[in-house]
Amino acid sequence: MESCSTRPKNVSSPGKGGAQAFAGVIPAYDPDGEHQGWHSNRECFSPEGLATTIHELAFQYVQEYITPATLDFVGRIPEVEPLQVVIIDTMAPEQIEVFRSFHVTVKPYEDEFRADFLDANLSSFGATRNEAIWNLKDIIASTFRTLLEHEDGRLGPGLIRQLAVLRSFLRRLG
Amino acid sequence: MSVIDKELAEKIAKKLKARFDRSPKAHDLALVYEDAILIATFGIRRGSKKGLGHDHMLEALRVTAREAKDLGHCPMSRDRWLGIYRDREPA
Repeated sequence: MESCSTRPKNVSSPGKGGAQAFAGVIPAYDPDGEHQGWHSNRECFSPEGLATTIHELAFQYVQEYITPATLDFVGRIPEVEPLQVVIIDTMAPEQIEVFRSFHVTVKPYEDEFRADFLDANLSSFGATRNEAIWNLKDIIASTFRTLLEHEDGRLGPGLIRQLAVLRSFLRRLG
Repeated sequence: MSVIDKELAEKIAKKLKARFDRSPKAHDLALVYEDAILIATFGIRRGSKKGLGHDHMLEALRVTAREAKDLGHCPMSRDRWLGIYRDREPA
């Protein structure tokens, strides 16, 4: 068996614990080429050698298993479209004024887009981002009007809270 | 595919005895009352496609996907849903 004295000085010694479990399985690497590349000395294990081994194995795996068919499959995976934040500062043509602009989020959802006004717990969908936002504004306006019509003691606790949120951004005109 | 499609959304609205405000442009606004108190609202999209997504109802009604299906397809009663809705009232 080859001796550890042949190990380059810049390669650390093997640990006594978990590293020993790899000895003989993961070969140490000779970065200076003094020992003709790889050798399988059971005692010569190092973190550097492990990292290099993993790199080499990964490269080998890519060469052997990543076929043109695999690349074709990966190419067909749709890009993940990011969540967008949109500032709402008008409710036109509704007779509702936005006196403090607010943020809504829009993100792809299934095969559509979903727009959320999270503070008010209101959401809507659309075939495009713009349609999702338009539909959300529609539901915000109609919910606001409905809650205002019921604020004479005919709202449950959740909707009282929702109206308070909407009122911190919106006011009815006329 | 959405958890709640338009068909299920309409079944849930019927189960909850919702009244409708049809003035919005893109939705019908379903209004759920209990003892003359408005306790929940949610939009049902206009359009002929039955597959139109209505997953926003999960948050509006404070139910899980499973509970929404149970609500629309009979196992869950309106009273049972009312109990769940009240239990999940934010603090």
